[in-house]
Amino acid sequence: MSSSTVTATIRTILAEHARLGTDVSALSDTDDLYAAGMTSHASVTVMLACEDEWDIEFPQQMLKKSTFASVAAIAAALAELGVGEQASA
Amino acid sequence: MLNAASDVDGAVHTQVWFGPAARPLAGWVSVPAGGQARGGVVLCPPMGEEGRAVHRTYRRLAETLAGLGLVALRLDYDGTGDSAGRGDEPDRVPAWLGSIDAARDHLLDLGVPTVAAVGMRLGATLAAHRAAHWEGAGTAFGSLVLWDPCLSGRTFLREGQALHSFGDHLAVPDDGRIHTPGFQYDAGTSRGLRPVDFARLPERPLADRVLLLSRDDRPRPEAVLTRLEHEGGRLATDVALDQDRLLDLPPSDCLVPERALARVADWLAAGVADQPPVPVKVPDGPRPALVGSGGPGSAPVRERLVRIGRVGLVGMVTEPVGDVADDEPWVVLLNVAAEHYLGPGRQWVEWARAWAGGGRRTLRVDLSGIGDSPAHPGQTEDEPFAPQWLDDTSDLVAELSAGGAPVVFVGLCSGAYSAFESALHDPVAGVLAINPRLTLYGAAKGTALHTSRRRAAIVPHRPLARLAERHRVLAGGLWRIYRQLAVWHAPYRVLHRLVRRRGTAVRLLACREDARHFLEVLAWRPALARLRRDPRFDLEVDDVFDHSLLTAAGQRAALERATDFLDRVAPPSRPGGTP
Repeated sequence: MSSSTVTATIRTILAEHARLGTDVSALSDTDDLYAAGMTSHASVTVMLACEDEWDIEFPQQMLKKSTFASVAAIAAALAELGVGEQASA
Repeated sequence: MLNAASDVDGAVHTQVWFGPAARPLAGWVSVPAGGQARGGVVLCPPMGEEGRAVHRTYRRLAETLAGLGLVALRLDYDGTGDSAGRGDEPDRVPAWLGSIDAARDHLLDLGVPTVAAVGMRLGATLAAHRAAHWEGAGTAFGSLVLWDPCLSGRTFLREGQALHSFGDHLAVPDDGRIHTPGFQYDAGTSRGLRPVDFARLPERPLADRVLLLSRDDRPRPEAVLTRLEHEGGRLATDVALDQDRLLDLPPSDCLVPERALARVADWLAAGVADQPPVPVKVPDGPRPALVGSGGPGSAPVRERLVRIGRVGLVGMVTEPVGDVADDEPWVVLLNVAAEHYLGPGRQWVEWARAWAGGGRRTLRVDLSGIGDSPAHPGQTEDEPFAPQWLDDTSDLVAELSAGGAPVVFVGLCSGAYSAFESALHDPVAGVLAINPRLTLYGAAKGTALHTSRRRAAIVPHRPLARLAERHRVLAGGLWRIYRQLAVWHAPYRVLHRLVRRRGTAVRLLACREDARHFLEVLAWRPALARLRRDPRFDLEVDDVFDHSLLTAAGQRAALERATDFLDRVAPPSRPGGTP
């Protein structure tokens, strides 16, 4: 799975789970999702959806708001867990 | 103190102990008017913070079910709520599942012809697990309501773990436990929750009828629906209306989802519509029970429900076994905001039992309109800082100190405010206040909460209170600037009056944000410095005391400081505890 595919999947997850006040396609990869209306409860749902999608578990040190603050931040956390590398290898 | 079961609209609502005598479970049974019922319903609450949020909803559901001819049992699982045991004991899952069995048996013992179950969140997942592994004849439950269920125990823990970590708390310790807001679970409990999973339930009927309520503001719970397809025509589905207003807000702000509640009650009543009512036993009035003062094997202490004051505030006394002298000090743990009297992360229960093991007696209590306490005539339920709370705390002090016993309050946030308020009106020996906030925008002139009787509240002027409704930060900033000049509005004055004029011992534990209000008015700093040299006063500012006391470190530190304060202010006459 390429990084662009990962990003596209993150955006799909956000569209389903983040309950943003705006259309996710209107946001750039670095836009703040919390500023766009994502609540703490919604970010937890996003986290669980990511875990289900890639069959991973975010370690304790990644469980912080900033990990899920933008599309780019989520992609970076996933890359750290090997998502993208695995599939493209 | 009164000690009778309540009686609302003809139905009788009684606190009960049931299950194993050596480790009793707590609950409330609501029996329909006339003592006749078509069936019984076990109400399985969510776990953790969600369980605290749901207390009012389940109480209202139990009352509604009793009005429809059903006996309802509101259950506290082993180690939760008022039941015996601690929440952080190892391997909790079998004990939780066993609690559901015991509740079912208790309803059958009362004489109900059939038993249904309602579970919400993890309570639904546990109830479904129990039903799917039922080894008795037929099905465990005639009807089963799965109200916004967790897909699995694992998702419950992951959600709690993430919510806790995403909050403004200190670093989560790496101690092998799962830390969720207010509650911690050991590795054995975490392992035990993994098989509690809709995707892993065996394909056997869960009940004769199943109702699934799922949220419409979240994706469809596909894994739950896939499993429930096996229920075929027995399954009904609907929307868990207003679940966001129940669970996505702090427990102090949540609302009862009336429409979903009515749907559940009507569906359950329809399930027994053909069942003729039969006489059922009304439980005896509240009786004492022995529970452990700590973990397994700890010394027993006695707990008993009381009703106290002019409206019959509901409280739980925890005391040493054996006779207790009339003048033995009382430690009163007040409910927090609109939450039931369990305290943050159930700490009031566990502190009370530990202290009773050391020879103290305590009362944890719901002020009027909160938890199981009735409201005064005309009072709105679930409203923090109600003017009637001033009467409640006066009633508490008057009744508890009647035998010459000193009274010490322990409170967090609104509870600490109420303790200060009482100490300025009534003879109170000490106050252990954790993160008090005394500035009450909501009690400004012209509001329902306004009363000129308040002495501990700092009430901003009405225009500023109106501004705060829309721009809280701006209003707060303006108010802080203003009170540098209008020094009589400084919260420090409350401490000064309590300690210097009333002679009340005060220990104040606060995070920096909550301590700031007491420290920042420059004109009072010299006086504060003098007050801090007074042996009756102690102020500790440390961010370990997170505002809502939801971290394990904060809970541990607060218990240690509170125990030390009580040793100094109101030592028990029999230190070391139970005979």
